[in-house]
Amino acid sequence: MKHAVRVLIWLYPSSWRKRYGSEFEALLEDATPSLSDAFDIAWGALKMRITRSLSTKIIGAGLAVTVIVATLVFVTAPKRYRSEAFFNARPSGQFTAHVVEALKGNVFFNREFLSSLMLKRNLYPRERSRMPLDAVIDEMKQNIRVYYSPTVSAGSEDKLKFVVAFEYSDARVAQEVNEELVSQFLGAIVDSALVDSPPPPIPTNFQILDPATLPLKPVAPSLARSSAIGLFGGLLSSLALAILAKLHHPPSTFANG
Amino acid sequence: MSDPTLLVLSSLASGEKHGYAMMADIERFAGLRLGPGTLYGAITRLEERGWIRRVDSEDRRQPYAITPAGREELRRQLGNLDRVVRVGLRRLRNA
Repeated sequence: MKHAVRVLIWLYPSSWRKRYGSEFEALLEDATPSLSDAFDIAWGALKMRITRSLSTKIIGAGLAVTVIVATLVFVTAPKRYRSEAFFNARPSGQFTAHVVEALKGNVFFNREFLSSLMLKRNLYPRERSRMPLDAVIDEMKQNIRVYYSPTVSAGSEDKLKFVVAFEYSDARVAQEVNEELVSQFLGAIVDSALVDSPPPPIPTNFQILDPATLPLKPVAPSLARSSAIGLFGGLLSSLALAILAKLHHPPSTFANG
Repeated sequence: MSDPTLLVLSSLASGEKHGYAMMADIERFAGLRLGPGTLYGAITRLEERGWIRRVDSEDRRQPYAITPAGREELRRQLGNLDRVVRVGLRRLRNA
């Protein structure tokens, strides 16, 4: 048992062994170690490695940075709220194909409409103070999404579900602006249908499933994204710390008395 | 009272000792056998804090002695423990 336990000394960090190894062996020769002593030595070595190892400290520091960066990103990133409106188009057929074509051409929200909406609702005041109006309109367009997906339900297999969504930093404003976007969208569908020759049949049932919602929770910043950024920051800082430690610090030692 | 550093300081308060002597002494006065890993973990921490020091010796059995700072720390910790013991005993009597 004595021999087996003495082997366990090698579990300790080499700097610790240099300092205490000889006297620790002398103790084991005197003490007649038991199996529980073997576990005690292994546990002691593990704790010594965890608390003394430079790489453990670096990983710990990296993790701390990760948590701090993720928290900072999450707390300081501007909040974004998304209001969504859902409705079905039925029958789809020719009319729905027409709307889908119009969607691809992005004809629903032209610059004049967006510009007047922006001024009416005083949207993006900071951006407008430092950017040309066209650039702000482009930014607004990025915050508007109109898309569709086929829905399958009994008896109406060619029905389409449309979504109009708008993201903004204020939940109430996002909802109010989205209501106007929905009105404009529906109006533009009808108008564009009428100018076509021959006009496609206007759907007999253009059903609104949900009017523009009042978002209760922000869609951004997301915890997952903040965590990913934090992890990236933590990894970078760990790497930087590891390089610095290699360059400037000798391997950790225990002071000789 | 099972804090190994407190037990080691208490053991060294009566004079310098090497590791095995500390183990035997602690077992005698505290009824507790410290494992070798636990004992040397405590010795490492205490020496780093300057509460114990190595005593010059040619023997592999390295003796240690408590320092004045260690004695002061032991006094402080035992004072805290004493307060806890007295309060606990008083409350037990009044319960």
